[in-house]
Amino acid sequence: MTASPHVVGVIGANGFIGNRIVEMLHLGGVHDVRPIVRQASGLALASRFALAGRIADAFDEAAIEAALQGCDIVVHALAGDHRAIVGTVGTVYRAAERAGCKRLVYLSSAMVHGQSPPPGCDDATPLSHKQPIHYNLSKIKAEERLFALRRKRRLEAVALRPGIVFGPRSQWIGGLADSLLTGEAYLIDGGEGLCNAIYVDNLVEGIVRAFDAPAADGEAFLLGDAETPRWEEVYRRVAGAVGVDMASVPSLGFTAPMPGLMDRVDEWRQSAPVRAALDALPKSLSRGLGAFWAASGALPPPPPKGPNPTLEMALLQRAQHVPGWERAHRLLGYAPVVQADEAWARTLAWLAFAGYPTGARDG
Amino acid sequence: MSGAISIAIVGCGAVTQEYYLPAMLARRDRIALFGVHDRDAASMDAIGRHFPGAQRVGSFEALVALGADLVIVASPPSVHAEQAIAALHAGSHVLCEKPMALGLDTATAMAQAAGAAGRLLAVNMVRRHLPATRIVERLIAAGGLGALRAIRAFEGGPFRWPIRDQSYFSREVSGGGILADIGTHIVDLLSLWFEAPTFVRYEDDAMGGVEANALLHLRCGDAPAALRLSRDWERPNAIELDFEHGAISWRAADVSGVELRLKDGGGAMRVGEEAAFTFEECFGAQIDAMAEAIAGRPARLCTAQEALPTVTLIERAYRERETMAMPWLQPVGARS
Repeated sequence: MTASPHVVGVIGANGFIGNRIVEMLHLGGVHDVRPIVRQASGLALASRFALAGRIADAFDEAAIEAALQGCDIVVHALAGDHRAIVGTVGTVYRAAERAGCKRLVYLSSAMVHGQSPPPGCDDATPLSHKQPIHYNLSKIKAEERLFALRRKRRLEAVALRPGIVFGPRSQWIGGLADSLLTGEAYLIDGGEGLCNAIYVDNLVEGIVRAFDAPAADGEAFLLGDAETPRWEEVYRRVAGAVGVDMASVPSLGFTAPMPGLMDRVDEWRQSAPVRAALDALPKSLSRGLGAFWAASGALPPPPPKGPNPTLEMALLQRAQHVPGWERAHRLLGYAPVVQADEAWARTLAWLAFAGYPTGARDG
Repeated sequence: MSGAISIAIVGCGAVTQEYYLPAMLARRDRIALFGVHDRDAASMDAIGRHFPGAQRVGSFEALVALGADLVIVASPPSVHAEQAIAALHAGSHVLCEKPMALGLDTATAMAQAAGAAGRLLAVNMVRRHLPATRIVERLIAAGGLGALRAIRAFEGGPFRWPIRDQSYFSREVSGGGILADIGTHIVDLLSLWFEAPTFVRYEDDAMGGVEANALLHLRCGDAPAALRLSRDWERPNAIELDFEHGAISWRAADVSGVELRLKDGGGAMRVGEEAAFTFEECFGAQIDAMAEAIAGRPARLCTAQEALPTVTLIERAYRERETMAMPWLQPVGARS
């Protein structure tokens, strides 16, 4: 990591990546880190270090501004739905600028290029708005808002585009272990596709590099690991750790179904405005509405038990190209600090710690 | 409302709003809420507005002066002792949230104050009222399972309790992290089901603050017990009790029943009650039990005296804590 000390506000500090940023910056001993979360309960992990956090909703510009007072760097690591991804970029940017921050580092995603990026895709490849996965479009929109603000205003901005971020507390690991243990895991086409993996500590290394790199302002950077595994290898490592025979994990094909009426009704029901309206109702009434929906037959039936392949996973596991991160190396000075064997040793040690049946620990 | 028990509540935060409020609303005909007190006016209003007769008082002293039969102490653990003792001295009975106190000295002082005042002081070990934990108690008491061989528990998940501010995560305010919070419940249940567990070893992940993960090793008689607690990651929440002739598995999500497996075959069966029961109803059951005990009738309670061994054990665990092994934690090349 670079040695220029900063006071770093981390928005979304309770998430997988946000928490690891807090841990690494605090334990690294160079920077002062300030966890910022929407609810006090989100400070459970930061409170292991007795770090003083701030409670602020990323939609609340004044609250974020107050939370960022004294910070010179802000990392926007908030995860969430489309509304959260797109709607908080502007509030955080403006709040950080008014709070006197020097630079905003925004956690975007390599998925802006799609789950199966075309051959030759790299940092210079224009982003396509014709993508079937909503998450990708949300991240593209968020980046566009960020850089539109940057062009008009003072606060420096950098967007980072990691791929499949894995490591301790990653859903790609814990969630995969869960699905392997419940028999819901599956491979698409044998998992022969490339996994654009990045170990979380390497991502944090990239984030820290982005604090100071002069040429980074106004730019977006892909980040990755030194090695690119196939999906089958990722599965095999986790399955081996939790004692699941890979022969029991089915290899499926996938044909994307056209969304039906019920899917569209459910999508509307899950949309942010509808959910916000439901959240505002008294619990008894919202429960009643839930029962109504269930009884009306308007909801899609629950998926059958067992593997339920999704379009997103099919695209991911069919990837034949992983965009390189040479530009991040050149302009940020980025290079992975944790290599694959160490990354997996750390990840699998966490699986045991987290209570998965690895046989590695009593407790 | 003749014969109703009068109640005053100090502390109108999450536990009061989430659990005591519905329990009291369901008992309007049997309880009279005299007053509420909280330093946060909005929280106080959240309770008081449901009970037009309840006074929203600006100080704890004014609350105690209302002379309620029962004072529910639902404030942060750091003030449990001071408030419980004051309420007992004023002649009220007290139901205190867990953890009862931050250490054995203060817990003992609380128990002694109850004795001196001739009033009841109970700790809200609410899980004692769950049908599932009662079933475990009966299965063990029936004796057919033979000797206890081992206990394993995993409990927790990402922390979502609607706390007001970060002071909840202060050792000075809450006494600790998840061990003081959830560990207290599990140790209490083990004490209820078996002889009081003894301390073996404790480790957690606190690094200057309070723990989000903990591993407590105990012994219940000859049997080892490993209690893994987490505010961090979701795993199936379960207590597994392994006996000579069978095993009991209780998943916390099933408040009404447990799984019983016999080693001589027959597979697993659910032993439980079919009647709907929710965790929230335990708080009502606790209030009912207090009313019974105050009326001089037998009731299912954890008295202060009975809670002291748990306080002792938790205090010792923190005193002898070791840091959990977390080989992924230190950044590569970080200053140690």
